[in-house]
Amino acid sequence: MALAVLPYPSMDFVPLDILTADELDQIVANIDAINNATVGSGNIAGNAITTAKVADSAITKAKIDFSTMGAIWSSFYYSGTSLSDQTVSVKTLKGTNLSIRISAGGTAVRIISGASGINAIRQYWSAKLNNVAGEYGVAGLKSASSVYTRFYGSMGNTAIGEGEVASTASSGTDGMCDANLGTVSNASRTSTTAEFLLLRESTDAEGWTIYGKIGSGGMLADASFGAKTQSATGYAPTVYQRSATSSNTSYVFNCIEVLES
Amino acid sequence: MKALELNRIAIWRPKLLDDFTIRESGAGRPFAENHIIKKTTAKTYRYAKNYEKDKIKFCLFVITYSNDAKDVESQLDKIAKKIGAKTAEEYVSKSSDVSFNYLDIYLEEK
Repeated sequence: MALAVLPYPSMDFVPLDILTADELDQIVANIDAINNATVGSGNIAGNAITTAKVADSAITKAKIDFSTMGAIWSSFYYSGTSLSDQTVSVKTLKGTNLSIRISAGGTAVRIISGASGINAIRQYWSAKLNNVAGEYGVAGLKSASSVYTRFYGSMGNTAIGEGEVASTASSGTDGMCDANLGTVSNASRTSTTAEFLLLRESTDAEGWTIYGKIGSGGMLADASFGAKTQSATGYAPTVYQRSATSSNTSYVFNCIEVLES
Repeated sequence: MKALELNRIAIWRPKLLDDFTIRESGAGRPFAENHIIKKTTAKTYRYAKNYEKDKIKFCLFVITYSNDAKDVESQLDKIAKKIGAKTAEEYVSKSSDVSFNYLDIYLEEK
């Protein structure tokens, strides 16, 4: 496609030409077409305007559609409860070996190999439920404020649901995430133990609690969940444990979006 | 913007169409002759064509009373051959929508 397709592409003139009124109208129509066109669709080809012609201040993250760029992906890594400075090696969704160095608290990240840049760093707080295999479980998230919150549920490495909480909700009725807590094959768990992981994306100290129910019983009260508000240090609260002998651990996950090399 | 000078060859950045094009104007156009502004007494014709020299594109145009398009085009072609790429590049870089340069070359009258 030509860089630009004008309504009157065959206008021909040089300096000193006396243009007719019609020709002047056609020039205006051409200018209008360029002014009103969207680069990349319609009259102007996507490669008509290079980034060299666009001021840096005009290019903001909000205006870039990373989902279509292909090379952007996210990598979750497990930081444990200590959040200490550590080197992490992970495989990306595309199978690339990525090695990164993360500071305590996950606020500073350095690419060692496998990526050419960092797009964003977000922290996810998680709460884990240990449950008996085969039970149907429901977990919900209540935000302590009207701040918009998303949360996700996963079983092992498989996402099983997600929900949103737009405002303070009554216990467990909003932002529900369903899970059929069947048997999960995992080297760290027995074959009869399932794990329901609730992740909440947050970059601030908003308080939040988890509600839910396990099995055929009714919604468990807060106390049964042992719900706590999020502390300023960023640790997730420990949540429900099915039996007194089950252990629960809270984790903080850092999501780092990187540009693949 | 320079004043119109009849029969004097002008050089400009390439126009939109590469083809040899003609535009007719009625009598009464102001033009400069020996720094005196006069008015044309008959129709004038603007002839223009794009040329390329070592990947440098440029336009030659001229305004004249002559309506012999073939002859004018032939003369423009010969003049274009004499213009080097460096000269063309220099004039093209100085051109804008309204700014052009005259060469010290004139159409030969028959």
